[in-house]
Amino acid sequence: MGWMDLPLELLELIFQRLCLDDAMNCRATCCSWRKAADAIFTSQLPLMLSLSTPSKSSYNWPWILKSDNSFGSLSAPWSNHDSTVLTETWPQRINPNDINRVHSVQGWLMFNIFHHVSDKDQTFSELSFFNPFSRARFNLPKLLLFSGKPTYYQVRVAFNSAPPGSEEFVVAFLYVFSGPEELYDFIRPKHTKQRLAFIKFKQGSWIESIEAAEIFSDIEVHGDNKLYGLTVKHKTSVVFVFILDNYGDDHVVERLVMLNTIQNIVVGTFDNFCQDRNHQMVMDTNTGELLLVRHESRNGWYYSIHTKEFSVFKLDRSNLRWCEIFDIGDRFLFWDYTKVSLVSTKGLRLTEQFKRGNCIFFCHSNSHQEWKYPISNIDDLFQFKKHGMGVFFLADRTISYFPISSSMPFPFLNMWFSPVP
Amino acid sequence: MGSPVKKIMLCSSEKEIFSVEEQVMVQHSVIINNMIEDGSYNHEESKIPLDCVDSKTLKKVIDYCTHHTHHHNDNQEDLEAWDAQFLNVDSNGLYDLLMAANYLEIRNLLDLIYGTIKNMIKGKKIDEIRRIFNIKDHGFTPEEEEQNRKEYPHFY
Repeated sequence: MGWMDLPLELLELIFQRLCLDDAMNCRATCCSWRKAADAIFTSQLPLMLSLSTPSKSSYNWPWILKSDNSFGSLSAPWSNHDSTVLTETWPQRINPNDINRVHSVQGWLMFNIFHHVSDKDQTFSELSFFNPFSRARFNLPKLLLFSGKPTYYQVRVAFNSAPPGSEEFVVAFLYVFSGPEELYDFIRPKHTKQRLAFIKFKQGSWIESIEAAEIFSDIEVHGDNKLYGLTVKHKTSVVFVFILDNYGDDHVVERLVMLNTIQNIVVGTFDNFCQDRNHQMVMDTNTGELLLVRHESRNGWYYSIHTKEFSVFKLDRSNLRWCEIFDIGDRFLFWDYTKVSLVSTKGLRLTEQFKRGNCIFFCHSNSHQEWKYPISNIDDLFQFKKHGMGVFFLADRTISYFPISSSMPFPFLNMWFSPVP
Repeated sequence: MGSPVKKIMLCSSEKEIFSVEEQVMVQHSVIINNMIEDGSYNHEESKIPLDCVDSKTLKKVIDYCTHHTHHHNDNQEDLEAWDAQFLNVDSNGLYDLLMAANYLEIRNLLDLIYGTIKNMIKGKKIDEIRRIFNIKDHGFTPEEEEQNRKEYPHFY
């Protein structure tokens, strides 16, 4: 008898208390420990990834502390467990101050790297995937975005549920921009252009012929050939469904779905400085159900957003309407500014508070600061306000905010991340 | 003087008998508390057989429960220092304590042990963890072990 033969439930109790790096090490220690560590990984809620500002950022705000080379930290803000500091440094060429460029995808991080080829005056996007645990990397082929230099833009990236890098993995890429001449006109549709592209990892090249007259505020992918685009027309939300057909020359079959008005629907702003995405879509890959999640907030100073509440709508396909739902059952929504994901309670180890599901975990920047003048010391400067991270309970429409740990690196942005062993 | 202190008998895997204040064990061990409460322990005749706990470990467990019963009013620092000293054992000794505390369901001792294990693992490389916990046969195939080293090059 020895440590290798510890009963699985005891090992799990031990590993639950470890930070992720340590748990990953234990996973490689021996077979029985691997079993226990994997049981933990697959039974926990997504963690909050707080990305730090790198020390060599291209534009620096004077009040942002230079952190060390750490990349960020992972934590479970609803528990007392330690957070893990991720030591990998930022990939070069990434300006992480740009909120559009980092996504979390099924245990991987995806960076959107822009390349400008000066002799042709063309700008390409390259999606680069990185697994912070295994350190594995791969890139998707470059995608030509535009000729010349655009100014304001926003990027939406959607994925199907297949593991990144697997043959079944599918990515859709939406790029909305306006030219420099329309610097202050970028919300006017006539000046705004978009590129919408789709790639199947198996096929290895982008399908770029997705033409749409509407500017989308969100996209979602289902299976290996279905693409949903959300837009607003005459104050009515519209969902376009594209079926991407592999066989014909014409890749795209378009179907238009008109839906009832949802009050106060606002298309995602093209304001680069605003992290708020008022409406985001999420697909339940098990049921094929499409949900629209509305985030209501009050914008605070600079990057801060004060969450007020959420509303959830379900696509009623037979009547072509959005129906508001007040109960999402034994599921959770994980909301951040890059996406919304659905997580089932099944197979998860949950505390009493979360056992029934039916709540929305949210996080955005936790840098909501309470400015005190005159600033006497640096701690005053970083009096974190807690309104950026918490859980919204759909049953009674209340919010419970997460405490902000002082050991967290100074984060610029937060997103949900599930380590996949 | 009050009534004599009630004692219970614990029997180690070596069949050595330990006589302990009932209150001490009832307060700390969920299992013993249940036995006393449901009347399955007879003070005249019963011995509680602990076949998977050796004498050395049982003595330590009794020490822990006794100290925490009689010194629970001590200041936190003193208690923590005592706990640290108490758990200053090698990984085999810690393993035995873990199994005993788990069997007897002594929750605060379990928490203490888990915390100690966590600190033993913290920041260690894979080879170091194997050495500390005496894991000689990891059970991976050579291919899997090769894969580990590829996946976690910075952890070896």
